[in-house]
Amino acid sequence: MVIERIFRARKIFILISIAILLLIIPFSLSVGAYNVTYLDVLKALFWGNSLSPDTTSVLLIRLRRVLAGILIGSVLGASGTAMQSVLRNPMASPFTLGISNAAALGVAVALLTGFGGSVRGVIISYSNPYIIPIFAFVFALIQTAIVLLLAYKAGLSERALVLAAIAMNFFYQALLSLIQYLKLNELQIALIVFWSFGDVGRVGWEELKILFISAFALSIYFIARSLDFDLMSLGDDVAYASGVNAKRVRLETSVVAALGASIVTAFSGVIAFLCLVSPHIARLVVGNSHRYLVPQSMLVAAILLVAADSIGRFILSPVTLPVGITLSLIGSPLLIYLLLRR
Amino acid sequence: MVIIRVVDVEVRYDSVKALDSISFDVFEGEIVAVVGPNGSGKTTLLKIVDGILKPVKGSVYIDMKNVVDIPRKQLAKEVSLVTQSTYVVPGIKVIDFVLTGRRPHIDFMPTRKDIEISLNALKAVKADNLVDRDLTELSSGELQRILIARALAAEPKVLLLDEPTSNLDLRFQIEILNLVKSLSREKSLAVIMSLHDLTQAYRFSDKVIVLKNGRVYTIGRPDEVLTENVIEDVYQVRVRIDRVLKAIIPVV
Repeated sequence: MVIERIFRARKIFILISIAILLLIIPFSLSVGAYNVTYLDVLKALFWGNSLSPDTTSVLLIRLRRVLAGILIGSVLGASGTAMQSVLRNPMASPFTLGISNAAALGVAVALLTGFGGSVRGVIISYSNPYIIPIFAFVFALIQTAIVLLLAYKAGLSERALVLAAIAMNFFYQALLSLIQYLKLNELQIALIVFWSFGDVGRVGWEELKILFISAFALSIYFIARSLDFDLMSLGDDVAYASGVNAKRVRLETSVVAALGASIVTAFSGVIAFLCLVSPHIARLVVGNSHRYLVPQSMLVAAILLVAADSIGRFILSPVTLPVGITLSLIGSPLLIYLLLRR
Repeated sequence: MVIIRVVDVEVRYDSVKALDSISFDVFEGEIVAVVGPNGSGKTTLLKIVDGILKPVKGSVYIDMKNVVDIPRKQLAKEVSLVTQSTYVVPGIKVIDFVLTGRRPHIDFMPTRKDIEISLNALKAVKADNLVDRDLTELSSGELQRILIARALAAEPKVLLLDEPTSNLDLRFQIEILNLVKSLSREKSLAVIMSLHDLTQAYRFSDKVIVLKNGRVYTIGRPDEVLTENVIEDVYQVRVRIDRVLKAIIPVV
């Protein structure tokens, strides 16, 4: 039957993506300045072969990066897909709400007030490693709340949401530039710039637990909403006529996506590009039905992030490039290709 | 049996009255055409019946229940609206699109039964051969049939069609209206459709509501209502009605 063939093909694509992700994990564990072969990693993973303490430590650090990549990818892939649907805009993402600039401003304020760390000469000493992520997270949430409130006042249409976000984004950018220009020294500015690169290496084991819970809750919510996303892409009236309150779904989705993106940004910096590119790649594979598109986007984003992080570790070895840079280098041409293909 | 009862409905867009003192009944299996000049309130009337707009005065009853008291999801099971404009998103296959019509019946994920009902809806509009096609690949006539299939997938008692023949060539117009007529008869569906073409309203409806400036100018059987005088009064155009051809011909 034709219908069963369509659905089966999509499930197979998802299974293939899971297989690619599973294959890429040992590859990512083996890549980097410290040499471990792919085979050694496989032996250690599947046959329990003992490794030297040094190798084990390196692998654990890399495993943390890989898990961070998978979880961050899942959150950003799903959030990007959901936002593109509810805003009916193929270039939308949770970062469209202006989260990245707001979070960067949060980091600047943390440094300016001294909460984020004190500067002495060329050394920044941190009072608490969680202060900067907390400031970034809180500022991203404040930005989300302001944008949604403004959009709510303007009727919660997709246009109102985007315009409110753009206006606030410029405002935050101006504030950030003002603080950098007047108050921060070179070291602090460098820290903000470095923070904004986006790097999975900053994510520790404790943060991984928070990321895991976020990714799990967020994916359940978005998959449960998948039929509503299908309807939302057809227009608010169509959605409402089918019993779905488009404005409420838009509001809820924006809150959930922004929350997920804010947590990710607080822990790893700005990896906004992933939200844009992964839904487009996933769409090419499974089409626009969100029941398949949401999980496929999560998988594509996870694969891209783990792959980009691996490339960033060997391309200029022994220097490790932040994943935000490698991802944009790989993803930009890909996105341009996809756009031109349309 | 009366399925839709509209009683003394008034609708306002800010201070402007869009509909005023509208009352009529629609019976099971009846096809009602709503006609009138642009801006006379045809689409607003459909949105009122579907509960998308709320009247400032009067009430709409579906199966003797006031629309404002019916939960949105329940109402969506009973009334299906085919709007004039739908975003046609690339990458959506016909079956996925028709499945969205089952949303009022689905709590989490579509079941095999939902898929079967969607497929039956496609069969009803003779479009089951298009099941794996992308929406963007369809012709206007095919797309209109798919839009109706999507509405049927909800298994409604009432089907609302907002200008179902606009953007279609003559062959597809006749095809769609024949389809609507046979669906209404087979499934005892109450149908309200807004139309611009008076000849089609004359040929394919059991009852015609003529709107002028948001009010019911007249209502009744097509041959009673669509007279040369009524049309001239409402549209400010002189026409001649050919009873043999069942056609309304403008006279210049």
